[in-house]
Amino acid sequence: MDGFLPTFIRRTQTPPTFGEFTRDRPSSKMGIPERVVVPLQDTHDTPCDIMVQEGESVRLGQKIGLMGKPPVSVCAHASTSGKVDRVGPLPHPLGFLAQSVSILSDGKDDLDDLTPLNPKKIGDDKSRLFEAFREMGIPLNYELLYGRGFKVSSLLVNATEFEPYITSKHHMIKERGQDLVGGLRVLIGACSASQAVIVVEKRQSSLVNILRSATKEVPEITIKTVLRPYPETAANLLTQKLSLAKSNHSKSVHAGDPMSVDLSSLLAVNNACFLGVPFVEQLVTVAGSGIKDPQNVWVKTGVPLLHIINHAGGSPSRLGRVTLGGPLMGIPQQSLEVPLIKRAKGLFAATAFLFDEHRESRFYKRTPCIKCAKCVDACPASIIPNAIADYVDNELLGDAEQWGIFRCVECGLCEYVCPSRIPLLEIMRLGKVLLKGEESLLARINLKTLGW
Amino acid sequence: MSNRLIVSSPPYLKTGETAHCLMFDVFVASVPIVAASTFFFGPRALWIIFLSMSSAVLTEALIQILFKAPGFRFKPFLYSFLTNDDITVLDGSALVTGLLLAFTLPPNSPFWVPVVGSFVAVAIGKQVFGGMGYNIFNPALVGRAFILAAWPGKATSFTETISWSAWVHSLGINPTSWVIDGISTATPLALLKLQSQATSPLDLIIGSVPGSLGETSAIAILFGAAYLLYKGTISWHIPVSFVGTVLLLSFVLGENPVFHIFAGGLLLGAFFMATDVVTSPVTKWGRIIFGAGAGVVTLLVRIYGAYPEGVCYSILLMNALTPLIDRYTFRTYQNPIGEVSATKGERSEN
Repeated sequence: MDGFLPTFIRRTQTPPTFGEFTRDRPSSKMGIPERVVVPLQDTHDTPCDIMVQEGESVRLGQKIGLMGKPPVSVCAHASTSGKVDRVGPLPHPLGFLAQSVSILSDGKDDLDDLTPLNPKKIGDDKSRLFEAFREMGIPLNYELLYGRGFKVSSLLVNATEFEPYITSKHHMIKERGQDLVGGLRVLIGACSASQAVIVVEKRQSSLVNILRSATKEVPEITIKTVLRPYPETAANLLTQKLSLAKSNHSKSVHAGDPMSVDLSSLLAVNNACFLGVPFVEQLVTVAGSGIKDPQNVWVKTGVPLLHIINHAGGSPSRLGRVTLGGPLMGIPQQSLEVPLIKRAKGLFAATAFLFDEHRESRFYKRTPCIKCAKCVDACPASIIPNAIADYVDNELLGDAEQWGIFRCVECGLCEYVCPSRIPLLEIMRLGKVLLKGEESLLARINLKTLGW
Repeated sequence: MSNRLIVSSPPYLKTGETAHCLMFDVFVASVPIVAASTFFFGPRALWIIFLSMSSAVLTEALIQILFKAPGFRFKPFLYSFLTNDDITVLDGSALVTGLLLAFTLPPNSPFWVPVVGSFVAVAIGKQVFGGMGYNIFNPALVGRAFILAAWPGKATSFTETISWSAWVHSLGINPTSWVIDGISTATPLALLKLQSQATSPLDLIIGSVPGSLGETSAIAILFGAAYLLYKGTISWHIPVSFVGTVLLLSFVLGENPVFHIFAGGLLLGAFFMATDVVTSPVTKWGRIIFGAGAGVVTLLVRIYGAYPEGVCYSILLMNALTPLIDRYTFRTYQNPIGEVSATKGERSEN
């Protein structure tokens, strides 16, 4: 309950950005780590084949994982030079054991001899170009690209910071704005797209200016501003909001839907095409209550989270919760030995102070839904989270699907605003898993054990 | 590993808001109304509000101890009362019900009217359905409707506003003499309906007219409503569509719109009763339809019905339609673009 003074202070229904911790601080570059662990699969897709053996010495940028048949995974690269000391299943940040290559660094970072990828030289054969992108380890939506014959009408770059604390997109545009636009130009040519849209939040006017001046000569790229940030998963909503897709999106193949591209992928495309460097480095924000020195760091892919936290001055013994990504949609980690994966935007580490692990406190206990409609007002996908949660709780999954459970983008805003402390996002994910019939981590959680 | 990390489902940020805060906001918002009713109807208004609220809380506590908390131990009564998770009297919802019920009662009601009304409101209006969050009808209005049906004379006999100098003079040693007999009179709506007599709009806005405790002073209600809107406890949809419909429809039907807005319980109903979150629709268009429907029914009852006032019944009627409105308005939200994510099965990666 609020005290007396907050009685006349307006409660905001949007999460704070906490950008002041890291936004105005210059980004740093992390030194050569002692060890990197390169997982051979980025997400749940098929892992690539190991090309190295234990005891072999590798160089920075050397290919260590061979990609399989399209449209599956991308190649894995050594992000430091050194000696391979272990090959085998190691913990992955998404919560499973993945085939990984652990490399003990020799502290030299010798570059493998690199040849820039020249799209013009490759010529008109688009499949060879995208194969080259995959060989460079650039994560793109290859499933969609291969499905449509490498033709996408428009590209969508979401540059809004949805997560509190995380400002890595802001820094990336500020520091590498030209390179990002260069990468986007290459991609426009590669996908034969007619337009590319970069979505920026309206209040971040400095970014808009940087991007406007960088894209002056490129008429295909337009900068659009939105009032509130959108999560990465909400590409469909952004498409709808900016009306990029054609209106006849009823039953045909969604050929008009744009492909959403990640900022770090754009940078990687630029590096691959002009420098010949594969995807081995990315910018992440390290912030949270457990971090003494919150900042943006250029980190090599595959560095264990423990090293990143130590670099930012966090003491691992005091940490209670570490998530890859921000506090709203991040992936919780159970161990700090897991490596950083591609496309991760940040690292949120909080101290183990005043956590209510089992929701035992009276104020954090789940109470019945009072239908205050705050979740409905907050939902960017305009579904009714409280009704769907009711259906999932009562195992009426057909109704839950009918009421649009699959339109949920899992942004977590509904749970953020819920005054009844209902774990809405958890219920939504559970409902999706139950509907899809996929065995996953969440399916093993019993409703009863959570005290629902 | 030095320590264990907590793995739980995101998000890890929450607003500090709980249901308690929403109830507390209503208390703060009702301070001007309580002050106005005390000013116009004398200290007896406070007595009725106190009776109504305490009856509501006692009823809810009793029902929860008897039926909802099976393991309740009576020996350390206060301790088990405060620590039992099944007893949720302290969330303030019963107090709000009692307060809002008292606002709808005439100032000269006998003491048992608010007591019985609150009992019915909490027991039959709320706890029968399963407690807070599950009730179909606004509990305070259920209590009001019960009193109106059971003792129509008690519920509709209103007194003139108090004369404070007479009240001060009547203060004696004997406390029974503190309550002076009010002069029975008719409310502005009844005056218009039965005797075709209009009341001056200034009196209606300030509130120096006979009527229920909380409904007469429009200015106090608007102060409270402004606070609720500022805090975000209620959204603008229901009050605006409710009052707007009454304004437009009374204009169309040839009545005085200003009179219909400020007379009777319309403003209290629109800002405090109809916006009860549990019994109003969740979709935005649903809320607008809810308010418009309530406005139409209110005006039809006032102009063509037997009762002079129709706010209570209009809101209860629309409460019954709330699930239907939700279901209907949600259909209009659906569109094909959302199905892309279902077929693609995207995973959330940061």
